[in-house]
Amino acid sequence: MILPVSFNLALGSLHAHRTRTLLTTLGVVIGVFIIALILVLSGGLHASIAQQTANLDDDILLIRSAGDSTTGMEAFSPLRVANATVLTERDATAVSEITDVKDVAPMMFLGGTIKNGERAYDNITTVATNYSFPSVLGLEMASGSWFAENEANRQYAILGEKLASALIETNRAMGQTINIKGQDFTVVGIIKTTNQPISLAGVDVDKTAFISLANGLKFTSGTIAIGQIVVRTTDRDVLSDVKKDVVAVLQHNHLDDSEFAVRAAGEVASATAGWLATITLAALIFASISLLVGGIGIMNIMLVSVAERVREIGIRKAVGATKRQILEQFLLEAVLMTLGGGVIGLGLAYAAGYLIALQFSLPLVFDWWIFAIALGVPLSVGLIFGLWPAARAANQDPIVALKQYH
Amino acid sequence: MATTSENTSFSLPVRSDVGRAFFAAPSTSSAPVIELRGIQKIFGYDDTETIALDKIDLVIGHGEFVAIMGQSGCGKTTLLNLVGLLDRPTAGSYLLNGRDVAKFRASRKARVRNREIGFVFQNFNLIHKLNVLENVALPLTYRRGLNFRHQQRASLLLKTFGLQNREYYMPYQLSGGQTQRVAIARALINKPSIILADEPTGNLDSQNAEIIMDELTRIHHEGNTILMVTHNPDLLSYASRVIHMKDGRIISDVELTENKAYSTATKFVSRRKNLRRRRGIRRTTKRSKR
Ligand SMILES: Nc1ncnc2c1ncn2[C@@H]1O[C@H](COP(=O)(O)OP(=O)(O)O)[C@@H](O)[C@H]1O
Ligand SMILES: [Mg+2]
Repeated sequence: MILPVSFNLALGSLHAHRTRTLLTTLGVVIGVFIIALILVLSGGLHASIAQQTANLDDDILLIRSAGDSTTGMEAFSPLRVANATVLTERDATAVSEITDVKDVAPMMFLGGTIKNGERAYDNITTVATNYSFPSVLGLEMASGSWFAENEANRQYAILGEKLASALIETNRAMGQTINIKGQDFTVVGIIKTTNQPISLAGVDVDKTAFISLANGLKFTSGTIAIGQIVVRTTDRDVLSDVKKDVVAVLQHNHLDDSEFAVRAAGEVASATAGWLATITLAALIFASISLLVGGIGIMNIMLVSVAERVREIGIRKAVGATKRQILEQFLLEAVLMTLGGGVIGLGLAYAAGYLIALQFSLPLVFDWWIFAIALGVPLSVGLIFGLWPAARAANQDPIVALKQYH
Repeated sequence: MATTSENTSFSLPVRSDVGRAFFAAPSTSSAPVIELRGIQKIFGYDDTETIALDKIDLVIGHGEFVAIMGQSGCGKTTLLNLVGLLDRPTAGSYLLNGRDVAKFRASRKARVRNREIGFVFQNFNLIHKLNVLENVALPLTYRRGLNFRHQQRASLLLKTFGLQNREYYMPYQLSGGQTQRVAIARALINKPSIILADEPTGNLDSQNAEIIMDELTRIHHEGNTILMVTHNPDLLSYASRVIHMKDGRIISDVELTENKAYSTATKFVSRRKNLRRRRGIRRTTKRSKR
């Protein structure tokens, strides 16, 4: 090993070709950036899903419109929550009458603008639901209370804590009048922050406004289009029995079982995890392509570098460098390049991860294994793609190499 | 040194006389450093076959300064490459310090090059990205040990070359003569058994050539063994032995005792009539500079 010298040399020669080095490293930077970002965030997402499955509620059933899907699982993708639906209030009522059903919360998803005086936020989800919602989903109030059964016709709104603090200041929000899609509502309750951007509610409760179904009807010209019905049973042991009953009731109401899907909460959580895995996989494939391209670029640059330095190699061999020492020198150069790219990619991933985590209230994961992977991957890329050029350098015939400029 | 050469400056074998007078004459009687037996080197085969070396027998003792002469293409570089373990003979045996090095594995040959051989090339062959100090220390970097220790050693060596204030120069900032002296320092850093110099003055003007030869003579008198290829008969007077090659064979091998050195030099003077005068002038100008 001749590390110190090789190290200086490698750095020197990389520095001498800064632009070239930077451009070639770009592929590795992007690849590592994606991989690290996935690790940094998906660690958080997985933690969030695990938390959700653990806390919540193995006594919950979700009913969603199944659309065209054959398995029904796609209905539970977080991306699909607000889709057109065939579920009605009648279904909710029918389900609530099943034995061992404790509470039922139908949810109607509305988009639109929420205003408080001058402050206006577009594309805020408003959910129209009933009085059972907080108990079904196990929500705690930061202040105020949910509207009662007999208050469904009042212009009351309940806000997630983050939405409340964005719209008004949290401590002044209670009793304020806000405007949802052109209608005035009084804020009567604020939900304590849940920090669960992905939850069984299908929305980020912290950033959602809640109104009664009766009020929701005013926005849909009387059509009740329930996106999701959340059912809490009296006990987890009865879950599968209740599920059968729910399916029977809905089949009776709809005459066709493919229009809706019923899932236990646990299944949905794992469906979400599956969805996450799909996105992760796609990103990983992209990252791999990026690393492959980056690796080939590095191989190319290293080959150029070897060709440029044939005489140097000859000199080194003449003064006693072994094949292995020459190999090491050039491998080190390749690895320094990819590792440099890895460090930059990792840094960028944490910068981006920080912003995203802030946005979606995810925990940012700092774990030794993330660093190990984010640096181990470019290390391997450097070793793999640097090997051939380095071997070419090592196999130079010193006599030929020294003759080059004679 | 200057006072001695004052007296002898107009007698002929100037440099060797000076050296011998001042330093103890190197012993050539000890066990041989280099022992070549029936060395053959053939390039190519059939139509393209070239016999570059044809049954060379050569023994070089410790402390000899051997000059090799001969027309271009007669096999001088090939011989040096074989002795320097950069190339392998087609046939024959090569003992370096008594060991049959031709049979060594590549990595062991590299080790021998690293520890026992110093190369000086016609075109200097410094690594242009490294400064003078790093270039001189280069052979040491392929061994164990701390970098700064290596550079300390290189620094000490550069002092004996009077190059201590050029340590951090890059090769392109040096004159040709300085560059070659740095290269000689690099060849010397590992205290080699033999220094192989292939036309070390070939790319230099006569004044720089003389500086280089002075340097090699100094090293020779410090007890080093040198094998040098040259085209310049002027330089023969520095050597202790002259070998002439032709078509891959050694055609003459003359030990230059002081008398022989004198006569050889005279022979060349008679060939080139103005040599004597030229040398005299050169010495004078050089001395006046000092
Ligand atoms: N790699 C090689 N392939 C074929 N022929 C070579 C090679 N190297 C040298 N030769 C031939 O060997 C002979 C001796 O070459 P060389 O030792 O370089 O001569 P010089 O005495 O000028 O240094 C020449 O005829 C040359 O053409
Ligand atoms: Mg030659």
